[in-house]
Amino acid sequence: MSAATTLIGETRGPARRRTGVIGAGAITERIILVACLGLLGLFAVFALWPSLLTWQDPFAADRSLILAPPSLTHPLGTDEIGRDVYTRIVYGTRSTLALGVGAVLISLTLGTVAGLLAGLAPRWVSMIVMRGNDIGAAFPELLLAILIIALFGGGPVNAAIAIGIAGIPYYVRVIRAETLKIRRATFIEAAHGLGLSRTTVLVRHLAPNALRPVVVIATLGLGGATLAGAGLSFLGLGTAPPAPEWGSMLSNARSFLGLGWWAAVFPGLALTLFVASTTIVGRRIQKSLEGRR
Amino acid sequence: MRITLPRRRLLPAAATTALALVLVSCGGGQSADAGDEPVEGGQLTVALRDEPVQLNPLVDQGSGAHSVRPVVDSLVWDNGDGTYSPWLAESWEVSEDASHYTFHLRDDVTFHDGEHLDAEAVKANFDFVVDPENRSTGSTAKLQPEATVVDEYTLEVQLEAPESSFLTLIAAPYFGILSPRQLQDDPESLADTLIGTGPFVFDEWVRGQSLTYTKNEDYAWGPEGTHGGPAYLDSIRYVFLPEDQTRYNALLTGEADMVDYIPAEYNQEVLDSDEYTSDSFLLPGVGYTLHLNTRQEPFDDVRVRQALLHGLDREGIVASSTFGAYPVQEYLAETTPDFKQDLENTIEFDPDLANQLLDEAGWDERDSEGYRTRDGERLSTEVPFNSENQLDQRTLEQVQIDARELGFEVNLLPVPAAEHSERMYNGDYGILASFQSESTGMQLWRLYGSDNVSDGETIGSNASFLSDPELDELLAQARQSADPEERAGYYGQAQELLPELAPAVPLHSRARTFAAQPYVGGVGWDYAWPQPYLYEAWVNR
Repeated sequence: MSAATTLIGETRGPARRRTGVIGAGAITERIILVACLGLLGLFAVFALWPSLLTWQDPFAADRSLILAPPSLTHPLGTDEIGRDVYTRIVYGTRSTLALGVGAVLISLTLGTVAGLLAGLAPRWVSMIVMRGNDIGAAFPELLLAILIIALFGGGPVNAAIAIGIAGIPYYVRVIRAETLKIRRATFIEAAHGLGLSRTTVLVRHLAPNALRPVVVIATLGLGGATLAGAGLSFLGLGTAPPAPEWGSMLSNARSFLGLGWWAAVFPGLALTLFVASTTIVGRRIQKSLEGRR
Repeated sequence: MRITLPRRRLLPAAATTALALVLVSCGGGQSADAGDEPVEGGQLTVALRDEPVQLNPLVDQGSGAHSVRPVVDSLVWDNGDGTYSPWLAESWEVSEDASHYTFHLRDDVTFHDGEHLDAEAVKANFDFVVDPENRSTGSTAKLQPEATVVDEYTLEVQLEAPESSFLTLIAAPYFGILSPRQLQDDPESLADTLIGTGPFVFDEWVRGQSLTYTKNEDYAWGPEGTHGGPAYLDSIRYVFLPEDQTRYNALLTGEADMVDYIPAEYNQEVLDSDEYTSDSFLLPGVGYTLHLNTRQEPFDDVRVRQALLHGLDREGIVASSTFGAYPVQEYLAETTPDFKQDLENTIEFDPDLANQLLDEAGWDERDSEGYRTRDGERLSTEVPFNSENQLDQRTLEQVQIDARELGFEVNLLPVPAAEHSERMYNGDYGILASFQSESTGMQLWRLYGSDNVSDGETIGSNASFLSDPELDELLAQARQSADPEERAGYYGQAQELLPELAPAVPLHSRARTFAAQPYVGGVGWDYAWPQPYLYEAWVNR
């Protein structure tokens, strides 16, 4: 979508942009952004107050309605157990997103500490941190997560920790690079010149600025981490049945694509929409941060 | 209960439609009919579910036995109705107490390596399964058969204890007769190559892909009732497709000539279809059953076990989890030779009785989530299951829903296959769900007899750890009754007794359904351990 809008912008040429008229591309972009924010808001409501938007029980099964197509009582159909797919998507939002959010928080916290350390500590410490980081980064994220689960066992908490740890290397790199850049910036030199203590400079001036890009990568990373979490549940390594979770819903329904596509397509759609929304919103934040600079 | 299921629906999702179109256009190519007359030549590609871990059928009754039948013959042929026909043995005698068997062998049989089949050769096979070094876990090994050569073609077998089902056990592919030279000189090689007397010769096993057999031109000893001579096919190629949907697709696309283990959800559709030839056999034995660990709380109390037995809507669970394809069963599947037709003590669905039993057992308080408690402890149990098996998972999720109604918490624990067998070995479970099939009532002894409990050295097949003297006595009587009717009588009494002891909740009998392209003919059944028999199969492309 963003590729298409850029294209429109380019063909119209830079002349229009200079005149200050908002092009069709920018309007589309804004509509998409608002839609994405709306979707993320909706998912937030799903996760926080699931009972607000559905009146059914995610565990209630009707044995006479196995893989029933979408209808008025079951707007998105029923699954292979006879449960309402819509209700399970709504109730599954919390566990699905909890995996992603939990993983991002873990990567974020540990990655920031390690990144600041690598950027500020003596060269040999930095060497050790970064070489260890390179080894971690050499493994594909999901593979590393599966390795961690193989060692410590499955389940939702372990899955979040596994994805969180697997995601650390990326954060370390960005934070370290940003720290190295900022520590030589004039305003830091000025702060030192004013006689502020090292701790004050670190806490009040260096860290907040180095952390700015973190907002972007955390938002962008949220989609990826959620997808990885759903992937682990798809493989049976995350949430245990019968708890609703998008990845395991997809996994259970995949055998019935020919008999009841809705049981697999709608959880997949929810996941796609969530990941796409976080990516689009993340890119937007990234642009505005860059624009300010 | 009726289940409404879409027969064949237009798939609104564009991607799925495209996929379906590809599948249909690929599958529609062949229209040749197999005809009634066998045709010589050609290869048959069969899609199986599980790839064997190893091939040697004498070591275990696992996956290997599903794919070695074309290479190995047995001493007798099981007709599936309690009678037997000659195969490698021309005739045999059974002692009155069913503990002593004498076999008179054919004198014209040679193994694929040129070895001649005689009493010594068959003795080598019995010796192999009883040798503790070979760690054979099969039913035959459990009987400790001691073989003695009488003359060149006569062999006597003495069992440790009487076993009236012995002929069924040795008719199965897991007692296929192997070359004595291979057994004695190169037992290591048995894991990945087999030398038997069968109509097909082992050719190649490419792990992860396929297992190929080629025709044995010298074959002339097919079981009674067959044409007897060499097979019609030039070769058989097994491919292994564990994913249900993928295996089914192999039939639709024509990638496989024949697909075994049609998944339950497509069972009826395949049987009704004019596009394929298909056949289905309801597997005998103990079937798909929830074994309750009687050594642990809460199932150490017979009332709790009975409560689960009567508190689960077995009909409803089975109908929905198997898409109506498989029938609900009692402690034995109806197709088992020793199944009691006029069973009086059938398992009735009675939630009131179940609740009453749980109250009596002391689980009469409820916690905030509605589960029953006793002295502040929740009525709860754990079911480890192999998450790759979707039918198991669906069934267990339905069980969980019904148990919840009773205030009984059933936690499902998906575990990898390796951990599953380890837990089974250690008795580390509340409920163990398993599917067991053997064409004899003797399976009741294997599953519920106290001498089949794990003892730390051997893996016992008695997963509920039940130990009941009355049942043990009945099973022992049945096993020493050479007369089939007398035997069935004792097994019948055992079937009447089992609901009282409630060591397990039987759920469904499983149908083994295969489907083949229309140009495939002559596929039969081997009834000893029901599976398609490919000796007389042919392809007419």
